[in-house]
Amino acid sequence: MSVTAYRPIAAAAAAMVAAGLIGLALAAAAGAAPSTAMAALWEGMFGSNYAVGASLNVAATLMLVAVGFTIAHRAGLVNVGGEGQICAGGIAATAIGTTLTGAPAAVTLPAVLAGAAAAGWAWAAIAAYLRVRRGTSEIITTLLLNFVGLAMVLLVVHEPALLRQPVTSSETLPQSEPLTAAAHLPLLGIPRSPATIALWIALAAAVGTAIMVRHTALGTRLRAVGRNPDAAARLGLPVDRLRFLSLSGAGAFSGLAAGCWSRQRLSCSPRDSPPVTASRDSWWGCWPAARSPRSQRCRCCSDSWSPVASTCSWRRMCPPRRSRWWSR
Amino acid sequence: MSLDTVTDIATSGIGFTLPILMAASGELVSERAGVLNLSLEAMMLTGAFTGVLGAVSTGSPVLGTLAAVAAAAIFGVVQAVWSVALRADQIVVGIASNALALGATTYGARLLLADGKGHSAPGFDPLPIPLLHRIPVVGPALFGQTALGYLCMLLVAVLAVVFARRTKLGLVVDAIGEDAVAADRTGLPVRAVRYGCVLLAAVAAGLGGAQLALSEVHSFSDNMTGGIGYLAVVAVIAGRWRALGVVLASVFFGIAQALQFALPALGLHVPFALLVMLPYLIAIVAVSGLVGNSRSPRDLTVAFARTF
Repeated sequence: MSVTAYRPIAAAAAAMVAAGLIGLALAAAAGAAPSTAMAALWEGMFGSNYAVGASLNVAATLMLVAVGFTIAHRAGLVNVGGEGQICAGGIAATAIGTTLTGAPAAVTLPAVLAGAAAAGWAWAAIAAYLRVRRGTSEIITTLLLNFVGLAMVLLVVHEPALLRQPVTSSETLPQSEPLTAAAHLPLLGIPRSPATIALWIALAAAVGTAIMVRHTALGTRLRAVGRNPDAAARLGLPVDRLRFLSLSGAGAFSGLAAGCWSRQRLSCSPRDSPPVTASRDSWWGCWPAARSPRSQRCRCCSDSWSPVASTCSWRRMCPPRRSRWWSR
Repeated sequence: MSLDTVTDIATSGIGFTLPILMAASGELVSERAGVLNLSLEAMMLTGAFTGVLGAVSTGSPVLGTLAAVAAAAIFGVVQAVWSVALRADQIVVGIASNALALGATTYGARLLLADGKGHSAPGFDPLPIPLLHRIPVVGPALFGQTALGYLCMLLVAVLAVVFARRTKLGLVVDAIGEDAVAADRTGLPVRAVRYGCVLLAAVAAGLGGAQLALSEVHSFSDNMTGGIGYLAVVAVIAGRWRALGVVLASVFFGIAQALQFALPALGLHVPFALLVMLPYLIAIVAVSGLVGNSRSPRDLTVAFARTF
């Protein structure tokens, strides 16, 4: 208690050190020497310009989602739906970035980012509406919307009428066409590095949000709603509207985070889509096609991977073990 | 749609229902005592993994089930210590547990089940009950289960009766969930009951995971539960914190999942992804109160601290 209250940085550093030590112990248990594990970790984070750039891009994504989380949390709402909002934003960014061909980058790029943010906003607005109008816990609804969002990505990359690229061999995963060059976020300019200006966008969002929640009337109102909605209502604040806007605004930031990945294409890899708790793990399984391991075999039954079901999960891919499920 | 198809949907629907129902029945008791275990997913996944690990290493599915229960109870202790004793945010603890369990079981499966043995764990075989099994439609669904499946059904019934709203135990649990401070002042052991209820939910979820892994699939795969722990939590909410409602909601989710496979088999060309999202859409509609008015226990997710 006392440590976290007075020395937040020390607590964060201690948590990171502890997590690193546990990770090393686990790697050692799996048979890797600690020095090898450390070297691999360092190599993966800072070993090359490419690794640094990839780390920065991921950091920017997390920062944008976290900024949104903070805004909603000020109003007393917990947004665990970053994942689904990223999926919605990714679909919108891909839809705009693949159809708006021929327009100059000055038009396409803002359209992609704005579309992604709007889609994330709309996705979170579902949960926000249910919270404000029906009192449904936003934690449950955002969590469930994550699963729906992942299925939406699956849907749009599978259906030829939607975003699936027309020519698909059995070797390629179901995926969209690549975004047009005009929709690509500019690079930071580090040689041989994929780092984009997403970093600047995320930093600007973080600084702007910090100022907003601390030094503006809107920030104070949000905090009042979060501390005590009843008292805030008596003071004449539009509590419902503020709550709706803070949660849907959080979704807009998550959607923007998806838009900032717009140098890739939308795909769903046959890796498991893990459950969607933080807005991280499954997202990486589901987004950058360039980095996904293209295993063509189902790990459950080691049958060859069927393109009908791309998320590998026992229920979706494997013929059931007991014949009774499919007996006839 | 022939009778055979209906039987198939019912049978596989009950197969999907049982793990959800088992976890949800423990969660119902825990939520009525005021503790929301969003870590149900962690408990089920751990149960499934440990069940397979135990069954593979001992060769006995019964020992595997016991291992599943023990391992899930560990997550129950985590949830209980953090949310009851340390008064941490129950939802945050639950979500963190789920992330931890996903990582731990995936790591453990790579390390301990990587030699392919995990693909064919010794599990429970179906034990059709002689006469009842012949009843059309519901016979194969309800009376063609494994021993563990029957145990799950029995436990759900026992929990529903023992913790009914009119038994002493049920009243104690309800009183603590509605107003922990008042319950404490009348002398009820609030913390002890909450600890017990969380552990009960963990054990039930562990059994649900074992049922999934050892009775239905006979193997473990990464992230095998894939969200059904969340569906179990939602089943409690959608069932309005009533045993019968929870059973109906669980069966509903189970049938919805079974339809994922049944509809393509019937020749209906529905996009696969729409069927994947179907149970979750139903769940959102259900928790939005469209199933009728519902009221959660008043002190749900409120940590108890003695203030005098």
